[in-house]
Amino acid sequence: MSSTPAALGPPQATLDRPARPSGRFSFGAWWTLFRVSVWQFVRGRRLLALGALFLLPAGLALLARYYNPRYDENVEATEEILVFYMIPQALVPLSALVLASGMIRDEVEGQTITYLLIRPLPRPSIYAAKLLAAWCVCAALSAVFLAVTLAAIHWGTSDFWGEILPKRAAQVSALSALSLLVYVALFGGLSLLVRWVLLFGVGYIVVFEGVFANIDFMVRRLTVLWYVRILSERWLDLHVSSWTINLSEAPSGEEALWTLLGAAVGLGGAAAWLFGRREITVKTPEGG
Amino acid sequence: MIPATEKAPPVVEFRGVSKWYGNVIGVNKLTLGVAPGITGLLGPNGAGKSTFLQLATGQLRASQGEVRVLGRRAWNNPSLNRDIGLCPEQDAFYEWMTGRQFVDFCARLGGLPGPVAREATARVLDEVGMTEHADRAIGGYSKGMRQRTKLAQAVVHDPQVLFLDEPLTGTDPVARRDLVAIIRRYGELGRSVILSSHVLHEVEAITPRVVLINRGRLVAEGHVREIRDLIDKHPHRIVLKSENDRALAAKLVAFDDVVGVELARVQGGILVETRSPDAFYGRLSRIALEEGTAIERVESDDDNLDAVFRYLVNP
Repeated sequence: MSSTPAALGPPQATLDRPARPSGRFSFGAWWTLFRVSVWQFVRGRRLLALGALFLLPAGLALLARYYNPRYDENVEATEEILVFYMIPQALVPLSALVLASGMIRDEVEGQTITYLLIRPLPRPSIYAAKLLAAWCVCAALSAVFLAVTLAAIHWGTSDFWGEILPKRAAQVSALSALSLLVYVALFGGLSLLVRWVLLFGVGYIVVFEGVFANIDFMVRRLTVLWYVRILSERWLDLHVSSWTINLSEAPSGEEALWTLLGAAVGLGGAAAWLFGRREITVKTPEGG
Repeated sequence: MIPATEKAPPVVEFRGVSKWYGNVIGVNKLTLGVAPGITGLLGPNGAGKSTFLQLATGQLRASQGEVRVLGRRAWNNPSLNRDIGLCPEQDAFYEWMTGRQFVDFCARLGGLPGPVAREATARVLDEVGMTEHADRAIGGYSKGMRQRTKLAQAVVHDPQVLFLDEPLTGTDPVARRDLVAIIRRYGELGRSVILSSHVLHEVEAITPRVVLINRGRLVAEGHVREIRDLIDKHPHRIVLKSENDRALAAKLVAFDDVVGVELARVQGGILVETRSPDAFYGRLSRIALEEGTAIERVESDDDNLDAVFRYLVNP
């Protein structure tokens, strides 16, 4: 769109100067960046695509309800497949990959990163604001659609309002949020290191969370899913034989929790440190 | 090289600074002190102006040497960012924000508390003549509006040093006039402004003090008049278009200061080289009135920086 020059007002003559910012770290500045980052994620097209993906388990649950005459006998199996396999193993890491991989990259490619880097915010805190915003949006997304999926599975059952929706939904959402903390930190960091982060990320999800997590071998200790499953078995009193987890030998709930939190803090901290030291080159129109 | 005349402590100081992008040199062993006030950073496209500004605003780390702004290290120094403002060259925004939201966002990122940020935003939008359009999405702004908005975000926190990377590029004449007025006023307030451009007359309209760089190296610094004096040691190239170019050429070769006349091969006209441009221009008005050689167009080829660098780099 173009406008006639006359549509613009002339500059004013005064140029009074405002109060200057103080010299301390401004939490208000950080909070502003966090809020705007959340808003960027929420209004992006990626969230719409993820929302459509997250509707898939609920859709499958509805199909099962209406086309399987013996659905009532298979409610638990349906929940197991959709809520404890499909969502945590595929959709949750995928949502983290899609949002976290773009949190810095989008700013660089859109050349808006300059507006962040020339502010009196330490670079690691810029990264932390972006990371936290990505995690909040992912966690909210998974919480909403976990509740929707549980509703699609259990709607009409006697304990739906008393047990399933308030309690079970909150529990699985909390576990999902915990795993997202690690995934967002992992994929955010990966996006600083590799160019084809989506490819690498999908590879990680398929190989580690999809294959290794299901093999009863040491390597599954490197997967997020294994710890989430341990927490599911210990805290939700869930027993899925195909997970092949021997609770007497597996880490305790606290150990699993601290492992996940430690991984998230470690990965996130390392990535923030890297972001703080890395030069970010923004292409200029003239290449000068 | 023209020596700097200013003795005040420099606001921006480069000490033997080099910046490489792989095998490409952005800035090459640059030693330079920019004194307070308004300074034009001149250079052709690809000269290293943007690299200079990115180094000075701490976005890039020098491969070699030291960059200091206001006496402080520039690279990755958040506390310094309170005292500097940057209007970047790239035409990038959060397009979905309104102009007011964007400037307010930048003010808050700059550390201004909410109410102060709102008040500062309203004021700078007024200063750059954008109040009327401030509540529209930036995605619908014209180039001039976008440049004004970029300038507003750069000054909203009242920086001591303002870096402007090609701020007049692509603007219409009205926006250009307004932006020039705003930049000059900012300098009059005692702030330092470093303005990059590849157009000499753009910078001349704002400040007489210039730094010339080319291929990442300092070519000259000083008063723009000194640059022009340097240019005047060489024959000036002036393009004239008249109703009868051959007749005009015949008249011009008679003058002693004219060292060459060439019938221009492109778009008609003649190319004149003179060693005394003032004398030449002085008699041009008389010739223009003579019958048969009425002059339709006069262009000085020396106003473009390519010519300046031709003279300075290859004297």
